[in-house]
Order: sequence, then C-alpha cells, then structure tokens
Amino acid sequence: MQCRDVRELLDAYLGDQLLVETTNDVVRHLETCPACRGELEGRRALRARLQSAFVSAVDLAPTPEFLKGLDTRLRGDSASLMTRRSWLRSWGAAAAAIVTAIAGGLFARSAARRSRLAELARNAAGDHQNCAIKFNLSERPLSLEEAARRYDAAFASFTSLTAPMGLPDGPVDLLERHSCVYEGHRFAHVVFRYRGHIVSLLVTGGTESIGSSPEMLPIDGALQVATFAAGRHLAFVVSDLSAEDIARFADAMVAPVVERLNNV
Amino acid sequence: MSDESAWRAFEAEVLPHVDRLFRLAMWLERDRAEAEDLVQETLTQALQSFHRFTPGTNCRAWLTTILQHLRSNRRRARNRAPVESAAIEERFAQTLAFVPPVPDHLTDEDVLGALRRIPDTYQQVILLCDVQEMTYKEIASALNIPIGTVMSRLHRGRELLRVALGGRAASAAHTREMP
Repeated sequence: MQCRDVRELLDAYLGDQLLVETTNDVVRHLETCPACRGELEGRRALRARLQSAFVSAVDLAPTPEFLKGLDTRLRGDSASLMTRRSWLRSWGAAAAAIVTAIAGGLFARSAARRSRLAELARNAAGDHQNCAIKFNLSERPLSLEEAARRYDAAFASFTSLTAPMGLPDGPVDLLERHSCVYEGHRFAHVVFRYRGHIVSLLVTGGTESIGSSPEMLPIDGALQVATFAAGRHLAFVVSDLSAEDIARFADAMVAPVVERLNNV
Repeated sequence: MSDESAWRAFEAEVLPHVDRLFRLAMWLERDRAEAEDLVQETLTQALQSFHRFTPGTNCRAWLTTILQHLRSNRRRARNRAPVESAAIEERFAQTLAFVPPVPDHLTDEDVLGALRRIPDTYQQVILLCDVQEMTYKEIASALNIPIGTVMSRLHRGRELLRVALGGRAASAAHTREMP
C-alpha cells in the first residue's frame, strides 16, 4: 500500500470500519511510515478535540429547567401509555370474548383451536422475549439432549439443525440451541440472528389441525409469530422482523423441521 | 413488564443520552426552542416505540435516527428545501486543491468555528460519526442515504474541515505576529 492509499483509509481505520484484511494492510504500512503515523495522530487528535469541544460547549447544553420538565412530561406520557395499553388489552379481550360468544356453537371447534394456538403463540413470543432477548427465565434452560431424555425425545433431533441458507440479505447465524420453559410450556428453542434481529424457532408438542404451510398469528406488541405443524408438534417462528420477513424465514424452516419431526 | 419496570428500563437505557442528543439538535437547529421541541418529540416517540428497541444495540444511534427522521419530516412539512443540493456539495468538493495538515494547537472554539463554516450536509455526517460515534451503516439509516454517500461525505467533509482549520490557524498566527 502506498501513502496515498493509506491516507484515503485512515479515517475509516480510526472509526474501526475497515475489513480485517484492509486493517492489517494499513497497520503494516503505519509500522514503516512515520509520515502516515503523524497524519494518523493528527486526525485522531482532531476527532478527540471535536468530540470534547462538542460535549463541553456551554451554549449547546440543555438547561436544567428543560431537563426537569422533560423528565416530568415523559413520566406522565409513560403512565398514560401504559394505561392506554392496558385498556386496549382489556378491550381486546372483551371483544374477543364477545366474538367467540356470537360465533358460539357453529364455530366452537374452530374458535377453540384458534384460542389454543393463540395461547401457544403468546407463550412462544413470551419465551422469545424473556429467553432470547432478556435472559430472564425463571427456570434454567436445559441442553436439548437432556430435555429429550426427560421430556420429549423429538427435541434431540434439533441438535443437528443448521441455519437456513439462501434467504435475501443473509446470512443467518445460529446463536444457541437449548430447551426452556415459559408459562408451563416446554419448547425446543433455536436462536438465530438474521439482518441484525434475533429470531427464535420454538417447537413444542401439539396436535392442532393446522397445515405445514406457515400461518401468521396475531399477537399483541411488536413481535410477529408464524406457525406450522410438523407431525405431532407445532413450530413457532418469532421475531420483531416484518411479517413478510418472518413468513419467508418460516418457509425456509419448514423442510428441515418437518423432516425431523414427521416420524417422531 | 409492569408500568414502573417499563419506565425504569426506559430511564436506564435512554435518559443517559439526552445531553448529547440535545447538543446535536441544538447544533442542527441553531435555535433553543426548536431544539427543545425536537428532543421532546424524539423522546416521546422513543417511549412509545421502546418495545421495539433491542437491548444491547446502540441506543444513541437509535435515538439519533428517530431525531433525524422527525427533523426531516418537520422540514418537509414546512416546505423547507434540503439543506444543501448535490451541486453545492460538488462545488465545495472540487475547490479542494490542497488539504493542509491538522494544526498542532487547536482550541474548542477553533474546531467548532471551522465545523460551522463547512456546508451542513458535511457537518451532519461528521457529527454523527465522530461525536455520536455511529457506524457508517447507522448513519446511512439515520439520514436515509446510501452508505457510499456517507463515506464520500465524510471524506470530503473532513478535508473541508481541515481547510477551514488551516485558514483559522493561519489567521490566528497572523494576528499574533502583528505588532
């Protein structure tokens, strides 16, 4: 690398934005070039000075009165937001109850199925949130092998599950595999990262009569849940990705999951 | 999550960034009342969308993105033209015949004064990168521009900043030498 090339890259190098190979090339050049080292130090000092000037400029600082008023307003907004959400949840539950009652006998079986699926979807979403995102489960997760020995032999087949290939804007990274419990439901839980978002595949026992094509289930909040059946199990794919991305991800998971569970 | 614990999570994650967020708003708006409005609206929106924030990711970048999008919507609603046109950017970029080295002794006033003298589009990317410590990808998302444009604006902006600093340093030295 020549001095001119290195100087083009020095700011990206300082910001840790270069690929590993390019960083190594820059470092090798800097080891032998005092002029570029001087240039690097100059740029580093300028960035540091800019940052310190900005965060200590008195005329840019918020006033204590503004900060105090902001805190009060946000606390008020937070309380009313929570009240509104809780009202919407109650209203939603009441509306669902009314709809179920009206549909009555005609749709009883279908409603029961939807209700059971909705409950499982809520549990899957809760598990994703409390296990994969917040690491906040009350019960320690088990290895899939141990859970297969103690609870569901089918869970052992997920020890060989790999990340789906060929999704747009991939790749998908497989982060974790275990079995965990949320609200009394035990799941085989495989955690992926796709496009910077955490995605959970959660599998549990269930014989609801749904097909093996992914179906989106409505739940409260920002998460999306897709579900499909595989033998005597149900699989849920949960994330805060868009519904379209989740449906695509679930499509890619159908074959490997069904292949593992159809004969169990 | 209970009301109180939701508020505590928001308070712990978001409120430490308010000072720097406000400084950015103040720099961009150049008006305290506008900056206060913008920051308040940003934090209200952040509170409403907090369930979408992924813990462990860059909260300051998330807030800055909300602020930039709100600011852009407000400017559009008021029928204000974009801050700088591409033609002006080109003209500034082409005036750079010589980029001086970074002067040795700089005061805070020198640096902020020089930054203020370069076009707003360049100021913005430099602040997001060097002060808000956002990645190129985060800046691209906040400003809704391609990542290549972020890189070229940063490169040109830093050259312009050094030209502005060089002029400032030369002028200061000249003043000191005058009898």
